[in-house]
Amino acid sequence: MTTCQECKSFFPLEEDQARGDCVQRVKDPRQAYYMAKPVNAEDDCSSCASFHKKEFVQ
Amino acid sequence: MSQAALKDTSVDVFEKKQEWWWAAEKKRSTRLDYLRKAIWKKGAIGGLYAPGVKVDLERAKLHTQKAKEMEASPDPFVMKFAKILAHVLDHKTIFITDQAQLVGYTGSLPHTMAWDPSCASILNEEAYNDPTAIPEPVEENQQAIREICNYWIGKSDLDKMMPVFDMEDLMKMLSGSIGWGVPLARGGYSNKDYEYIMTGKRAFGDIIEELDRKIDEVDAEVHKPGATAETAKMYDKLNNWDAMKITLEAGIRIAERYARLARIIAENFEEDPERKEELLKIAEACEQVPAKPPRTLQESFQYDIFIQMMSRNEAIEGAWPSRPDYYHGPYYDKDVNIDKTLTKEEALDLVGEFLIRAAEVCQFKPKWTREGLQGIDGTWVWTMGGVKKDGSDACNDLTIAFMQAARLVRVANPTFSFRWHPKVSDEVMREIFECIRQGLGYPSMRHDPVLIANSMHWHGHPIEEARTWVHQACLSPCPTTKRGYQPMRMANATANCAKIIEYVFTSGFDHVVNMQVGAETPDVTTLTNFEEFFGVWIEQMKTIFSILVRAVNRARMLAPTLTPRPFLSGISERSIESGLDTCEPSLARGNAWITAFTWVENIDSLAAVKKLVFDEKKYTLAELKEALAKNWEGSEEMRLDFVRNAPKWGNDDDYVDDIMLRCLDEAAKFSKVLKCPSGNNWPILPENVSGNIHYANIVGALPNGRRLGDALYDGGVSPGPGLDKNGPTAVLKSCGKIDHITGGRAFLLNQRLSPTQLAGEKGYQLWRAYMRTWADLGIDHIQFNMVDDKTLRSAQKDPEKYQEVIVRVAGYSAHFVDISRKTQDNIIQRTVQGL
Amino acid sequence: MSRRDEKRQAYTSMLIPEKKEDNGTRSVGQKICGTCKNYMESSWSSDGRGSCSFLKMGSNISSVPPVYMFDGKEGYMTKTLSDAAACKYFNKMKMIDKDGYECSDPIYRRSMRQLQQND
Repeated sequence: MTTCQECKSFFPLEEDQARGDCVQRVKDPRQAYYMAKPVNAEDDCSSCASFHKKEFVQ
Repeated sequence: MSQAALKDTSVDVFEKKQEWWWAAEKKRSTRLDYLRKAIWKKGAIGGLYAPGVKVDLERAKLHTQKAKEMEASPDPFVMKFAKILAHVLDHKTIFITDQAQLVGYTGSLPHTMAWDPSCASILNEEAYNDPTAIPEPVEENQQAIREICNYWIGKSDLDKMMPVFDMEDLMKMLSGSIGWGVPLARGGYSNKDYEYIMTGKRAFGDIIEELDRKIDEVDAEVHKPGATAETAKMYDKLNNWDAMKITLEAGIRIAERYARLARIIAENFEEDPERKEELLKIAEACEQVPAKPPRTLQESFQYDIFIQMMSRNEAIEGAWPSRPDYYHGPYYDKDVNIDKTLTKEEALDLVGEFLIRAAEVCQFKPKWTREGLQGIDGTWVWTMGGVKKDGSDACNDLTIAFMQAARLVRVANPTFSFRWHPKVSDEVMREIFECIRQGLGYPSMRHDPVLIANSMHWHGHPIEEARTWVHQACLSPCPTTKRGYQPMRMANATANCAKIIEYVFTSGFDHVVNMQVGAETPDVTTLTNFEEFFGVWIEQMKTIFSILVRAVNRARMLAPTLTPRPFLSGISERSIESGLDTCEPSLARGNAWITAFTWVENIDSLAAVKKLVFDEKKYTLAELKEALAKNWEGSEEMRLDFVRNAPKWGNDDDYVDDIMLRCLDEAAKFSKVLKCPSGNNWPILPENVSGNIHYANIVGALPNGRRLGDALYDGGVSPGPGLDKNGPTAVLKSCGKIDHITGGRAFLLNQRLSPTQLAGEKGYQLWRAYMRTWADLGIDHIQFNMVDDKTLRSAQKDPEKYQEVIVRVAGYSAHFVDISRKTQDNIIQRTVQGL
Repeated sequence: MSRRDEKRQAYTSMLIPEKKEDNGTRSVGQKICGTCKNYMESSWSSDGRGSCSFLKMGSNISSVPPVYMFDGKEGYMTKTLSDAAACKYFNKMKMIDKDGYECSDPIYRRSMRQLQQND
């Protein structure tokens, strides 16, 4: 199972590495922005279309 | 216009052709240009939202999921609710737009509309039935919406409130015939205790400390030996304070989330060093506010945005009462004039972006709101100018900066309303004039001395408090003080007044909604003189107003227990002090009013009946009743008689103007009989927003000659379109006969002026002279459209080229291309006054 | 049942939606109240409420057999998607305006998603 902590978009909280944000770049028809969604490090992202494997996983 | 054509044409050429929107595009900074074009338009066109704008399912899911989890929780309702709100803020998606310096949005993504499923099941049905706003994948999301709808059936605020209203009154209101809005604390619009929260003396962290002290104090008290009724009340206070604390802490946390995102972008994604710096500044601002008071203009704006965002997390807000130049002015002065950490141009970027952040706000709203406020999400009428509490001029450099920024970004909403007084400088008046001349449709002008006196007359606000006033929505003044501020105005004290005269002819039966709505008055054909006829009119007026006010009063009294507002209470001094919900009527002085849509139809109709039926005896009431019942079919000649040969309001004609005064007088008398739960009066306020179009197919034929389906007048005390034949001074003179202090709460007046006539210095002086007459006559309001017919017709044919043309609809402005065709035609029909 | 109770029952049924069994993708029939000339949609919202201008309160076209009342003032409260197959007074509208970009017209404008494919 692939988990969020293996993904490039995952940024863990300093105070709690088990939680973090999934930060993604989006360009919609009107604007470009960065979005952040709170996720858990162990969340299953096997079916996530935005998953990009990090080079190293701690 | 192509980018090449835009590039090749100079600003001067555009300004000479009065194509202000192209001139603005060229003049504004690259940042503002980007951010302006980044906005997803959220106003509805007619009844539907614009293509691409979707309901925000994430927010609805988060709210519902947490509500399900909390069902078994032992927490009292107010704390459960606070925890749900906190959960949404802790888990919602957030974003930072490229080039933005300010952050914070109601929905999860820029193109989404926040949907709160806990307000009303019937609103949830609207999300389910919407033809265009369900996001992709549609089938899957319809399923999700179905599950959300099913969960909230019987649990939403309105479902809880309905059983405790009078069912008949409620059905009459929700029939769509006589009123607007819902009697809900979380479905109207809230002013704020800005004197407590926005003067730099405190922020959320300070309030939390205060709450902790109060909780400890009372907690100790309730555990001492002894028990009385007061002891029991203290439990509620403790719960309320706890709930306030939960929401304020959540506010601090979400700001920290934005700070964190800004730092992540700066450290991991952004390569431009300047933009990195900007992102770090955003992070610092979000780490400062709302926990601590702002230190800079950017932080002050950011603080305001967070407060508004959180208020909209808690309730559906239909307005944005604000006095931005007054409360943010000191920070502008500090940054630009004293510390010089910002240039004027940099400050203008911030001010322009602040307008843009407000323009993009959206919460999914029911059909009556969308149709009545076409082109906008709600009326963000920002109050500018006016006086300070000591009576001195409150205008400052930020007042001017707002006017300049508005001309650059050309958003229709927020819209400004300027509190004029005799000491306003020429410099400020010229800036205002430029906004109007460049076709923004704002600022509208308010007569400050009149309205301060009005506030004192109707609601007994002391003069220093009355001077703090902001527009609670389009027109009605409301103080921003501890006892003066109104935490919730339920829009359902909004009457479709054309029904008053309609019901005189139908004995109160509404043929459009098939219900007995009005009073069962005698058959109109039995009335033998105008005084009897007018007596029946009065009875219908009282009946309609009473139905609406009863519901609001009931809801207001129940709001603290059934629909509390812990966040709004947490930023209100009277709630921090007392431990009671801010909607508790005993805490406030009261500032209620009845918005009177479609008012002038009554005046013109009464005048027509008086003249053609009773004075000239040309027709009988029986003939008139029959003609109206048939929607004038087969009686066109008669109809035209009623249109052309009866005097119309707005022509300085005492025959009809006296009828206006009589009607207002009766309404004013009744306003003092009606009392709000705080014990205060219910004055009326004639105005319309785009209710004149929304009600076009709901109001039947009337004696002023209108047919079912015709647009109604554009509202307030504005004459009917094209019916003011005697020039602008006659309009002012008619309006000047009204006593704007004692006659009602306020009176909207639309006027259309010629852009050609008002060009240059000569145009300015003409306008100043006109405004002097307006001021001398003691008229409380006026607003202007200054766009010619040719531009508007071209915009109808080719909307893509005219995206930033703005018109004044009624109590608000909208982009012309963002309103329905019928509304557009109605605006074009308004008489262009030559000064 | 008193008149007051009768009204209360009728009103309550309108204001509290029914739980949905499906997600609305099933297409609606041709004979629904919303496609009848006698139906007036609520202009206050698009939650699917309305009333009949022909039948009066106390009628019930979903009961077996249908109940038709013609006395009284109040119209029969019904819903846009209510099945009208059994109603002998059903009178199909020739044209339904589905343009939701204009304001509501209770008599003939139906911008509900479920009716977009309906003739």
